[in-house]
Amino acid sequence: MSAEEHVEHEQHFHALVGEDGEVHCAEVLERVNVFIDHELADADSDTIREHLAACEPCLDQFDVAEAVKRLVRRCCVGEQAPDTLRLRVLQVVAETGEDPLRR
Amino acid sequence: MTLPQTPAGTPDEQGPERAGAEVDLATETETDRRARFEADALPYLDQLYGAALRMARNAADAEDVVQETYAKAWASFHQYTPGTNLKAWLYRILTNTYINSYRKRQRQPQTSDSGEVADWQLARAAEHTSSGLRSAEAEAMDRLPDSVVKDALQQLSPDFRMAVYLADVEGFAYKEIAEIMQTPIGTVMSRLNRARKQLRGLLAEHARELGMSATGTPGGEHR
Repeated sequence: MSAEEHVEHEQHFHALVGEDGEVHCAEVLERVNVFIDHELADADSDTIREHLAACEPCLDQFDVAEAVKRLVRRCCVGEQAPDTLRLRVLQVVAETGEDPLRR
Repeated sequence: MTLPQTPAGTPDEQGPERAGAEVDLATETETDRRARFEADALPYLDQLYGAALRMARNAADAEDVVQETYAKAWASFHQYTPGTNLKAWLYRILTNTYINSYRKRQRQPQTSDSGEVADWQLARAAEHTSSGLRSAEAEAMDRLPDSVVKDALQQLSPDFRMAVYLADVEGFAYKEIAEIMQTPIGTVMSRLNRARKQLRGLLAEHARELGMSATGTPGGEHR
């Protein structure tokens, strides 16, 4: 991901490192989604990992968020379209010309 | 480390569209284009159907949405730039198709006011912020059956459900989700935030109902 995109995400949050130079739970918890979705800059992710290693309540929050993400994926992957649908789609493509307005 | 080259034309996780990157659209015949559409777009049928199943009310509706998606995609395939993100392009058409069919039904009564999860449900999810019970919650969630998770997804509003599906099941980046749903990235982020809060509340509730959670059990703290 480009640095610009990280900056774009970052503008939605309070600064990760506070004015006192410390990393506080509130700012870490704000980023739980961007962290588990791998949308956070590497440096910020490292800062968060450091915090999680020392803060069990935050770690638990991240664990649950990851569990929910994992569950959603588990319950939805691997669906197979019925053969009848595949045939219907092939038929539509075979019988239809492209957009006639184009030519 | 150098990764081995993928042989040309081999569909992989990145999608088969790469094979079409050198197409000359000006000289391509309709027969060739049809063959290219079938080779490049058809491999996404199962995935699009899986998404449609989560969006639509039932399997028959999902099939209709997917068929319409492919019909539209084929009709505008000349507007698709070979070598660009075909999967995201198809998902955008699917999303539009679904939203249009959903809007047509807005007059019909909804099964529930699915957009909003009651505050008490969210409050329940936030109840246990202290102590070591959280990891018990994560463990309990891992044991929830798929049917419960599907039910919970079904209770989210369509926009929330779609955002979660695209991020968690398809692994799209926020930027791609923003393109597919045609919203700013900030909207994607807030939808994901709120959707996951609701999901978590609903799933935690189910976990408790099924007696799977260690919450409230004396001696349930492991750490």
